[in-house]
Amino acid sequence: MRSGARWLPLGILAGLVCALTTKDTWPVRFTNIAAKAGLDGTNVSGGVTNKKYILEMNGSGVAFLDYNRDGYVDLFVVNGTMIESPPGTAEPVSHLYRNNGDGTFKDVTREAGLAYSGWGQGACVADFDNDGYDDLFVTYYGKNRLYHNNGNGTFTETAAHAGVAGADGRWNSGCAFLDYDRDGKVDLFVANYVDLGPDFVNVPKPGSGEFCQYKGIPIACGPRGLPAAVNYLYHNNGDGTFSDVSARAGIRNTEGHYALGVLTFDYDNDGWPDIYVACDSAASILYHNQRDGTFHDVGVPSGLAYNEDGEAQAGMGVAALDYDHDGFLDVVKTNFSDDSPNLYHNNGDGTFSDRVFQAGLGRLRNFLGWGVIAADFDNDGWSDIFMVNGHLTPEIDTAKSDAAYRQRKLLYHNLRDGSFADVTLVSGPDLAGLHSSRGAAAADLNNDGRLTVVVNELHEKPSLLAPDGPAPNHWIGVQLMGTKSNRDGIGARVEVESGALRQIDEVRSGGSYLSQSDLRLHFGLGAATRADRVTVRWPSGTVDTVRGVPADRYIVMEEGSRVRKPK
Amino acid sequence: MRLIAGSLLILILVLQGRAQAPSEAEQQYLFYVLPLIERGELANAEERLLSGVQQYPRSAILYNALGIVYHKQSKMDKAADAFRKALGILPSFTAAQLQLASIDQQQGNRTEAAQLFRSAADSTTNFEALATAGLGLADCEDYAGAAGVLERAHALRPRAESVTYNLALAQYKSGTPASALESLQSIAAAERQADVLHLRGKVLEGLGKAEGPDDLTAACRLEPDKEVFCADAALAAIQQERFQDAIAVLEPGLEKSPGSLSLLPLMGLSQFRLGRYRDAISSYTAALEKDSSVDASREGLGFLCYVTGDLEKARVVIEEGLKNPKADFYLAHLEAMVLYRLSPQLRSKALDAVNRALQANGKFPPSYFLRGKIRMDRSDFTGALEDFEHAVELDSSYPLPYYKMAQIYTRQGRRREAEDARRKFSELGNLREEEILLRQTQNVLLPGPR
Repeated sequence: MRSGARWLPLGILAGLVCALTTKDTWPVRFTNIAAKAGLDGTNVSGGVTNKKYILEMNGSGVAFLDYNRDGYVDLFVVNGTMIESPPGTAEPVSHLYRNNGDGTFKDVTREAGLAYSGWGQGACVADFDNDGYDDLFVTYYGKNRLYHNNGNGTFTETAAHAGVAGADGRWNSGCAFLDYDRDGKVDLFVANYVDLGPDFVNVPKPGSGEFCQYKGIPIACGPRGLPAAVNYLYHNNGDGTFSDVSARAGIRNTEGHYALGVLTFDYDNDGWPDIYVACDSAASILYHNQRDGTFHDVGVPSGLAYNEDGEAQAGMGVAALDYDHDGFLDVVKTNFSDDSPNLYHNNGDGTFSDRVFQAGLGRLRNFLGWGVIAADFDNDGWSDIFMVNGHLTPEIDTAKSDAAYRQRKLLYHNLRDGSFADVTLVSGPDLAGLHSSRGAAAADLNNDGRLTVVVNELHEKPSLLAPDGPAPNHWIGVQLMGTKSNRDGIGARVEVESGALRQIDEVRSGGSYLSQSDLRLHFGLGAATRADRVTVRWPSGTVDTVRGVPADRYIVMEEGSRVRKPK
Repeated sequence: MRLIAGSLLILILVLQGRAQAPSEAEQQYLFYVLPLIERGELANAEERLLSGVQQYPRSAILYNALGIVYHKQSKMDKAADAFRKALGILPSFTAAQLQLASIDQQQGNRTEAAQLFRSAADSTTNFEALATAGLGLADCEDYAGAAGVLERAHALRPRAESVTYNLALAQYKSGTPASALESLQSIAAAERQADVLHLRGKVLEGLGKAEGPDDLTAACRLEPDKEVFCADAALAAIQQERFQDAIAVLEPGLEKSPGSLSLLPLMGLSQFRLGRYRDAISSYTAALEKDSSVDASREGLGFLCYVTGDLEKARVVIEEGLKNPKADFYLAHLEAMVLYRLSPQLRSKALDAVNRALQANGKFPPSYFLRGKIRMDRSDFTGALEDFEHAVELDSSYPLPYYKMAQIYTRQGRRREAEDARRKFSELGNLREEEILLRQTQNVLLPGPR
């Protein structure tokens, strides 16, 4: 762990000098513009009203990427399929939507070469060959797809050639690119959920056992009672191929987890990326990077495996944020209903404390959370938390329990004193709309400092929740361009100082629930019209600093202290 | 227990052998007074009997009759005196023994009553007397003794269903359910008799047979007005985690008695287990409105408010109940849980609450766990470790204390102990909070055995 003085939490000071934003003054209102924007692909995930297998319940993720490098972030929406498609039905495919830069999108799936049908799960983005174009990895129940970006608006599927396709019958879930050995080439981590086996050979029938019931009604079995799968780490060989180093790197030393959401972050500020994996009904995993090409699971001793009492949870989505500005990245994780999410405060000594109740995030307990985004939606310089929710299957509603299949979103505003206020119901009626949501990600679609959230809604068209009106407060966006480090700067730590505000974040592939947010970093500046200093600590070890950056714009920082104008 | 049809005359005349036989004149006198008793002319009967015992001072049957008249007038002390006088004259006078035993039993003198019932049974072969003695012994909770006496009555009249039922009940209560089942099998048309079905259900349950709950449910369906039948049927369903079935048997009963204190908490518990929290809160609220002194209803409501995140309401509900100094320990434990979660500023109050809970019940491991957590938050690691260790001493299958112990050992640099604690934690397995709370609370919230 790096030595160095721990920052004083600004929350205390801020609480004294700042008038806290309340529900009455929360400035952001979202509208679901999906239909207007042209996002018309409907999610498919097995039976609409009746689900026989757990595979039909988990839904899929979403990914933002600027695939054509036109400066506008585009959108990839992962799709599933049916166990048995009715005759004459078109095979469902995932969708790539090109951002037209005017609030609309065009479905370019087929022309981009991405029309593929299967049990799509998650997606993560990185420029794995450092050619300047972001590539796309999509996980499946079955063989994964690695889409190499040809730089001309099309992709070529190379998973088998690259050695990351995996095998039939494997249930790959969350994924993230990371440069775990800091060699300048991004590697790939792929979580796996349940070992269903090919053709679901390992799965009993709904209602057939202890783990096939929910509140007295028979539902699809699992994950408990089903064999757990194992996670994979692929090392980037630098020639378009990867090597499976899972065993050698210690990834296989953990067993019996049902892994879903993946978060890469440097939790101990040692400059090496660690991997946190949200696990369902089992201990979550924190792979601590040993800096020698291996990882060691410190989930339990760190406090990130369970809730504060040591109780198992059903982890789904996960995000990192420094919610109290103490210079260490904290973790927020969504969980099952009849439970609370986690807000793990990073104690700065390798351990975390779950402060979900102190923070006011533990009160609503009938939400089943999936995607989670930590971002500063009101640009006040403090990260807020957005969660999307929904229950497993429509059959849940027959139980007449308080936990409904369709649930609203949750938006929590950071009150700067270690606590959050639920501002969902004052953030526009579309946030209160009822859906069974799964993957979620955020991006600045118009490069104007306003973050839009896309949500993959089970059996529906996606929601595209865009903020109304101009951006509140000031902000800056930071895009990284690695030279010695990987091209996207994945794993780079960026610190922005403006007045008393001192914020950190990292460029991150994957995250949330099987999803990918904008690779560019977004920082709110509150009333400040410039960032006094922007510091980038690159995975290569290089540190670049720029001073006096005017607000309300994106800057591109190239490794080696060059600042470019964004496209 | 079913009451057997008896007759005053029989009770008066049940005598043991010739040695007890009264004189013809005494009998004449008694037959002269009996119609007055039967017509309810008790003052007149009392007057005649008082003059009778003056005339026949060694007449056991007249003193016995006088006792009956006093008894009917609720002059219990005088009645007991009269029966004692009868027994002083004729110690093995079965009728007087039964009458006096009955008064002793009513006045809470169970030991004396049981002795008299036993003695009466030993000194008679009369069916009615045996049936009454058996019933009396059962009322005195001498179920084995009752079973023995009732078996004799049953042998005399195998078709007397009331005696057979009582015999089976006594056998069940004395811990011989197999004999009880055998006795019940001799009752014809059991399927149409709710009390027989109910007992058979309990007996089958006691024998671990799966059909038990079906009989309990059938009894409830036959007589939904009888709360105990429906409550037992619901309880059996709850214990088998068949919560929909529990609700199905409770609903008709609650339609007939919407404020039933034996049904509402079971309904609340079933609704809770099915995730119907709002309904469960309504059920527990209704129970509490009916009788605000019942801790179980308050605990159910407080717990539900806690698990649904309405901590402020939980606090109000629980603290209202804690105004009663005799409140159940679990209410104080719940208060501590709520305060702990409500705000870090309330940790001192949470500590007070959990201390009160532990004072009232020092055998509840979750209270030690909770106090350990509070002590840990205050950096009182020694105290916290003591509590966690105490919790696992009381319940060696309780994993969570080991998790917290490992955290303390890690902070203290006691690496090996931390690893040991973590290993034990892993070995014991882990459950979700919902499952752990259910385990901890279900037994607390379930009504006791009937």
